[in-house]
Amino acid sequence: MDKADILSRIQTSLHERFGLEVDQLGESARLRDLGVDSLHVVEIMLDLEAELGTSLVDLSFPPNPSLGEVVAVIARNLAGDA
Amino acid sequence: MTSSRDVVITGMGVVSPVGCDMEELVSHLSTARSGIRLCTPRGLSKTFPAGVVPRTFTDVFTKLELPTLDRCQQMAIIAARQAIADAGLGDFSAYKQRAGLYYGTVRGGAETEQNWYEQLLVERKEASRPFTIMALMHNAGAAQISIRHQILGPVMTHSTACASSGTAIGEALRAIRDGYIDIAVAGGAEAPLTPAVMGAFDGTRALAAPDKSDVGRSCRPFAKDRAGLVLSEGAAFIVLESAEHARRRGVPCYASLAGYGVASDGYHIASPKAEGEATAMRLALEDAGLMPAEIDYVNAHATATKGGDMVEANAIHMAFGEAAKTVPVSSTKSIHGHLMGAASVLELMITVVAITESFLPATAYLDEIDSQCELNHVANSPIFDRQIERAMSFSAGFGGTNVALVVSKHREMAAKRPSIPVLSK
Repeated sequence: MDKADILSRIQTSLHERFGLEVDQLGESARLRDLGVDSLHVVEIMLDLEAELGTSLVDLSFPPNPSLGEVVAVIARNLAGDA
Repeated sequence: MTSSRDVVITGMGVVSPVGCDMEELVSHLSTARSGIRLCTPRGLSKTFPAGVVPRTFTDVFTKLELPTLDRCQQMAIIAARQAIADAGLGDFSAYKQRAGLYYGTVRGGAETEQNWYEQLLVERKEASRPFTIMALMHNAGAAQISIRHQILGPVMTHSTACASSGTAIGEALRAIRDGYIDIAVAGGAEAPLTPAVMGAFDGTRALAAPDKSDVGRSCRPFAKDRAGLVLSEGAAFIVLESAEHARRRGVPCYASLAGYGVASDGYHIASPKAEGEATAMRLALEDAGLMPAEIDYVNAHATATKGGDMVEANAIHMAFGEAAKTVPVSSTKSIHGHLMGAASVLELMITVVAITESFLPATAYLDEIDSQCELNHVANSPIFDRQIERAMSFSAGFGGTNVALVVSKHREMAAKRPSIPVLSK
């Protein structure tokens, strides 16, 4: 799964679970500006883990990450580099 | 730190089976119209009478907010918001630590808790969704109100069973009087109409069955044919501040909160004791500097259980002496049921309405008074055009905590009534 796929899945999850509009959810959008906190992120990660049938080991994000930074951390997990 | 004995109520807000605003509440009280309906909790085969708030609140919150908000907290936020706006306030941050929030609940986020246990025990999940604990913890309602309105002083949660919001209000009163804070939002919330809570209460064999002729008349406190309590959901809050503070803000008040008495039975986990109840009443009178004969109305706790109502009638006789023969008494649970953690605050609010609207709210469906509950009952219909200067609301909780609160008409400050539009700051 490439970064574009991961972003797309996160966008879908944020839209379906929390009602955020997909056009707000570009790579540069920062979570705090979207009203998304760390527990919302955990919720999304649980969706992703269930979908991919895997466990994301390292979810240490930088402070107030952008969606692009979240995607990068997940990609690193999936590549086994976490 | 300044202390003041004179504490007033400047805001009220309510979400209840008998109204989701003050105007609707007054309308129900003035017609003794019941808000008790049939309720079949999901997964149970039994149907109960219950005080249902007939709407959902999910449209009031965003989908980002909802995962942390059990129905209990949704109602708490809405009722507190009403009370705060009614007092002409919104954001308390300028008060720093001199504004407080005093909250009461018995079961907190009961539905969220049950959903998690279903996941744990039925679906065999080993960890919950991330927001579960934030939505089920007892202090969540208090915290949500504090965050939304920037109440930065004491934010306290009381769990004294069905006296919870009464002790919350009483302790807020003391904190203002003793000079620790200038203003407080106080009240409670409960959302117990879940299978787990209803089933657990049904286990006590204390719940009423639906009345066969009219479910609305299932709760009959003090009646010879009373058949048990009716659980209800809802939330109610008041804003309390020192009279001096209200004057400085230029706002009117509904009434003074003149007395608080709290006393525990030390007797039994479920059975009440008249001595403990009477002591709380006496202490509240003493705190207000009043004699029993000066009280013009008592809003009783009476839940319509066989034993509880008798004990309370006895307690009123013990505390009021001769005046028990004349002081008008009613239990408005007959129309709104038992809101548990929100019961005490709702009933205090009704007691305030009795003062501002000059009428005695009734115990509905009291066709035949139990001879063991002899009091001067306001039976079936409200009594209008009755000047009420001072009144008491009483609440008792499982475990034996008893609370009495005394309110009185304020003689100097501008009087506020529920029908008066909200004043802006």
